[in-house]
Amino acid sequence: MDFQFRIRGNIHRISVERKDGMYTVRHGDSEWTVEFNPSSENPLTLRVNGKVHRVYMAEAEGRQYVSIMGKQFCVERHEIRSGLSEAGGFGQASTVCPPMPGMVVNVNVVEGDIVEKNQSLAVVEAMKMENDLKSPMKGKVKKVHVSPGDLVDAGKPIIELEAI
Amino acid sequence: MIRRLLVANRGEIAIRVLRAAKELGMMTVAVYSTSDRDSPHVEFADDAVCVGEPAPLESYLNINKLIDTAKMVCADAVHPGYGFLAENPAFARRCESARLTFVGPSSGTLSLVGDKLESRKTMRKAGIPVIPGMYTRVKDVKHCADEARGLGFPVLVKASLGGGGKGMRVVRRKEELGDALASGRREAKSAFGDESVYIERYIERPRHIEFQILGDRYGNIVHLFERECSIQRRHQKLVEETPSVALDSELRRKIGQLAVKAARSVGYTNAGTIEFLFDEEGHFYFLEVNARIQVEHPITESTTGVDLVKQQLLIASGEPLHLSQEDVSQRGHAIECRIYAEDPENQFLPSPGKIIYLHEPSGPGVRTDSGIRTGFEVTRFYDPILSKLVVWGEDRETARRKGVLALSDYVILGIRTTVGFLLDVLQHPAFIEGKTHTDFIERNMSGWSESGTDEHLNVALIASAIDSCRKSSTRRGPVTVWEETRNPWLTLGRWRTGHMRG
Repeated sequence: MDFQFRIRGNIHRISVERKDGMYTVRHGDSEWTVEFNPSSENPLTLRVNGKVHRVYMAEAEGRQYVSIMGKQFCVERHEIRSGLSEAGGFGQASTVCPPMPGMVVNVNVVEGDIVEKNQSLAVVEAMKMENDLKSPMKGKVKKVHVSPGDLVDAGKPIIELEAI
Repeated sequence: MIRRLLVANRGEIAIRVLRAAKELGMMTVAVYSTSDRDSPHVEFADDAVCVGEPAPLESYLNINKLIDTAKMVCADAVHPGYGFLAENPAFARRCESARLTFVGPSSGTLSLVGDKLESRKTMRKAGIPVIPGMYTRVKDVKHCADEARGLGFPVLVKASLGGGGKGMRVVRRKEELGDALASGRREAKSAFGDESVYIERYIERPRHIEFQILGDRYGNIVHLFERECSIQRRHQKLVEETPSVALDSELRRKIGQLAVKAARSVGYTNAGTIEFLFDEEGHFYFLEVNARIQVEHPITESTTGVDLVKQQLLIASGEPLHLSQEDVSQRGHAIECRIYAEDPENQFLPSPGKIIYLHEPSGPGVRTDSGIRTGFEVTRFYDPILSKLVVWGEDRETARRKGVLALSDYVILGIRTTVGFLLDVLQHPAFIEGKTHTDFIERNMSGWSESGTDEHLNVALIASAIDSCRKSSTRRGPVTVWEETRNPWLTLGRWRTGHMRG
């Protein structure tokens, strides 16, 4: 089986093959032999090339949170669409998300506005700190999902841009 | 003995105090704001009362509400925890007027030690070394410049009623003094309602070492040794340990005695801490008195075997101290790591959200003082401290290794926390060597990222892949590839019933 996971902004393709009760997992040039204890729920106990790892996992809002040896990762599973490139060709879109949960203080643009790179799109406030959300590129505001006073989550798109 | 105690706080410290009270046979009452309705500390008490809206001023800082609640539930004592109203003389006075025992020093002592200038004067008179500097507030820039000239640069502007680094500004050249004074005053006014500031000599790369004291109402005061609190960020402690590598037994004895003298000079009763700063030449100076039970109290408990919160309750009940200085001794080494709901990769900005999975480490010498559980919603209203991990070992290296293993097994999923960061602090060569100064984090951890090693990332991917396989397999049908490995009849191999081997 093939999977595509996104961790810390990077997409990784993983393939899993099962043979004789063992799993072979491949990622790029790397290959591992994996066994695991099927009755282990949380933590999942894995033996990767002979070394034992206990991995804790929990899912929320379609994202998998994983903890390994005290380090935490947020893993998003992406559907593999054969044939189509991720970028989608003409009209490449870009989403702007707040870096921390908070409340929208200001929205400085409306749909249809042309914006420059680093132009302030919105301001989000939390714990008395204000975060100015700047445009990552020159483009056109495709969609605005929030208004002042809305409470927002980190990583959830609040403004969508498209290239012009 | 106190019969019914109201705990005017929340989270991990509320649970800590409630636990000690229950062990002493007291009835307990918790208070909570509407956003804390499902908080673990609420269920821990015999009774709980909602005291208002989430904003602290409406609830945990609402003196009227708290006093009324205490009277309503017929409490005879109030424990303020730390933070909130713990060092607020007005709250202590209101408790005193309402004939509620305030578990802490008197309101008079609180007023005295809350004023840094008054404390400095009192300590100097008692013959305790204080940081060279002013004993009165700054009148104007010229006054300040004259004083600075006398002290020599660099100097530190400090708020008289301050704490937590607010109102503090380092000034290295006289040209910067005017601006530093103005901005320090502004911050002090906004944080404490009073813009009084003073200056003292700035100590570079200090070690921050504090002594725990306990005093009863009959004049008996003992110290319970020191805590090294030098690993800090924005004046907030992150890692504390005891004993301090910087003290030998002679220095420990000498400063311990000074700490007791300092406590006596302000008529201190109940639990408190005398803070000292150590410079690079080995000189030490009184810094301030913390008139409360502190966050890091568990490390003292681990090495001395004394339950400090129980002692607080006993002292407040009018019991004389049953410990003499000769009775108190330290054994082994303890380290505390503070677990905050903050993102260390994003300037330690608070990371509110839901804890979707919690697993706390355990084992000999591993203690977690926690105020959270799976499903707990961390809000943006309060201090982001979630819990404390405290490890004890026979020596520092043993304790450190135990801390590393325990942090590796501390799982808080759904929000960003300081766990991964603390893991790297404890494994840093500078930490292993005991090079703990207040600039530890700036010097050694800047640009830190959670990513860990390739191994961490690879295992995360492998686990996600295996988990996805497992989930999609069970969806396909009754007999699947996955089912085979769960079926012991197929995996057991060759066996027979009823026959003995051989």
